[in-house]
Amino acid sequence: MKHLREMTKSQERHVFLDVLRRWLVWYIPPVFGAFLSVLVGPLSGFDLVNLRWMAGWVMISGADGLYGSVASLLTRSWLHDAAIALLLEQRLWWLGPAILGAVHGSIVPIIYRTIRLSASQLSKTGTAVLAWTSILSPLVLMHVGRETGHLFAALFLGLSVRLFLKNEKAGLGIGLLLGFAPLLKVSALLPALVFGMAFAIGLKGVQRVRVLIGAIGVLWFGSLLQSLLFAAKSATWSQIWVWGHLFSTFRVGIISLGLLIAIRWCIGRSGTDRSNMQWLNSSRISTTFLVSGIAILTWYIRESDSADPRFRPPPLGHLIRQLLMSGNSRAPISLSDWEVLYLDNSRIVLVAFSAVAGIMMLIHSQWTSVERRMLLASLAIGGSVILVQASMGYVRYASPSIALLPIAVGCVIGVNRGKRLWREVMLFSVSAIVLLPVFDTGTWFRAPGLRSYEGFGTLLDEEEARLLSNLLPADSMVFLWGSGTTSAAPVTGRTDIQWQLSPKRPGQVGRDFATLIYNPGETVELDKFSTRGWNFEICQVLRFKNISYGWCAMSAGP
Amino acid sequence: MSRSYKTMKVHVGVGFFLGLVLLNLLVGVRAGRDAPDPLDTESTMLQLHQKLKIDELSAPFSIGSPGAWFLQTGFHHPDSQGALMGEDFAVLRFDADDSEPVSATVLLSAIPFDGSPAIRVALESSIDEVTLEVAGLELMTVALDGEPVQEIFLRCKVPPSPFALDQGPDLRASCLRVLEMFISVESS
Repeated sequence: MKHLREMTKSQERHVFLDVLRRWLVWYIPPVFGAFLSVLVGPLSGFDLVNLRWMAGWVMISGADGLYGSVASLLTRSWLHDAAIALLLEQRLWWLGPAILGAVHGSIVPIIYRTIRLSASQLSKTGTAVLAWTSILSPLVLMHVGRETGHLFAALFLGLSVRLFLKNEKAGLGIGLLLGFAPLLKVSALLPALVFGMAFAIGLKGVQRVRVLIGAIGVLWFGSLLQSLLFAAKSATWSQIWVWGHLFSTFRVGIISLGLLIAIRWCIGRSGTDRSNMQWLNSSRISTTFLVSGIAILTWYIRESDSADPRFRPPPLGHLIRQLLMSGNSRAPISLSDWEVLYLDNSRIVLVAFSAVAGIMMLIHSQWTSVERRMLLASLAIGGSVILVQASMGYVRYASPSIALLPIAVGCVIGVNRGKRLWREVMLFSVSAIVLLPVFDTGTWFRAPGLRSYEGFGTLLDEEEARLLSNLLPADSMVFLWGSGTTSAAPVTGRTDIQWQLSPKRPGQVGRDFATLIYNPGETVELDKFSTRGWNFEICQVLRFKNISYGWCAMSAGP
Repeated sequence: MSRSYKTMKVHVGVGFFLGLVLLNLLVGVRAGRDAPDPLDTESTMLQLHQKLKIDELSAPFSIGSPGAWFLQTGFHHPDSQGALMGEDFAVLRFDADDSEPVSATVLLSAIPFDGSPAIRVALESSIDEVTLEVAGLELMTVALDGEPVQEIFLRCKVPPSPFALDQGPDLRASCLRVLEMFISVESS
């Protein structure tokens, strides 16, 4: 009887822990993401806030506006951007960030499931803690609920890795999930290319082709759908823009038909055995292929200057510093220097674990199919970060891959055949290395992991903020134009104002009066307003302690 | 147990939504700044005008000093040394209040480019124009017409930024740095 009672107690404890873990992994992360996003307040969108770091440089142009981007439906055909703009356009300002935060938070359960699928010998608690590092590394945390593309792309990249590890016969599904990432965020194209290479190498037989057809199919038809909407609006059907290229309607039809036939062909083929490329299944050869592929891509992008023109490939010395640096206190002068200011260990951990995965595959060839895919996934996640850094020196574009850090770590530790204790120690140590910087600063919710930079406490003091706010009439429209100017929105905290991030004519915005905030050191392009029917009535440069704004009251011309 | 667990989840879901609404109210109240009254705007314009008034006959352009407010368009955000001129054309504006300014002398420092030891700088007022080949620190003086509100114009050719030229990490393009201005007024 006593024995039975003890068993019951033990079972109860087990059930309690199981429920606790389930909540920790499945329900709390989305709730945490949603609350955090609302907690940082209105006007906290990533491209608007940046009060304490990267001020201006990351928003040189093209930031997503809270209000203005709904107008982009007319000129830009990205369905994702349009959906997000509609979400953020609602008068309930907190609804958009809350939903975005909840979606971003759901990266944690996806990653938890992915690690459990492939490395089930790791403890559930350790895996749960590791999974949390996906959104709690400083670089990713500062995106949660505040941006619209990077972490959405991470979600689909994560799902594709999950399916890759789970089912080696699901090439088409893996490709379909992979194709969504660059469709949601163009900058995720580089990680998607690396992941695509890893998947094509890691799968067997016809599944390799299915991955490629799936990814290309999603990209093509996703782009085409929005291009058709755009064509319908402009009522021009002879030529169609798809992914920035002009195609004749005939060619669009032929490509679409070809892809449909290819996809149909894929659906009927689920085997893995028919392959004339068996030699690619060797772990040494597949590692060499993947590393070479990443190196060739890196070399091509650097040499051809085909990356985002706003950022330049860093010299080799800077690249190594960026990949290995976990933070320093240098005065921020350029984008790269700002990026190393905050303490973020995720990059160095990721690069280290990917290197270990590569070495393991090179020195040891007796891996099972699952283990080989786990190591390839680790290598691809770290390799994509290196590719992005080497091509652009801009770490934000690598954030979708950095969010998948726990998969890379879990897979490398998971294939380890050593003692269980050793694996658990590794799991918790790595989690601590990634998570600790988040608790390093008292202002983590504004710029997580940022080490305070002396003399740059707040952008404007109370009196300066009041002065600027008083120059912006109630319920008016304010144009923010030039680097650094978007910070004017959050520093004034004004939610009655309609902020615009691109020059528009008075008729387009339905206003006869507006205010312009510009960068006084970059006035060359102010003619974009004078040539669009605006007259400058009064102008004054506001020289505050930490930032200068040019201010102009404008009226509609005759 | 299963039913109570489901009920708990529903309660947590409802609580989550209500929590978000409450958080929105709290954060919205904290972060939202009231729209200004028209009177506030008027007094702010006066405040801005006051910032252009010159107190002393010497005005450094370093950040935090009153002289920084004389830097109009064409200058980057000033630092402790002064301000970098970021465009080919830049403007200095000040108000001498009841005095009659007769000349302005600007202390500036050239930023050489492309191996050339000096750069060509022009200083203009409504009645005068001075052009100099400037190498290193230089004082340039221009005559003024005696009106209290004055605008002085600077011209020089701004090269690409050190970052664009692969010569350093600084993204700011500049041809010269302005450090200080000295005003001479009509003696009564």
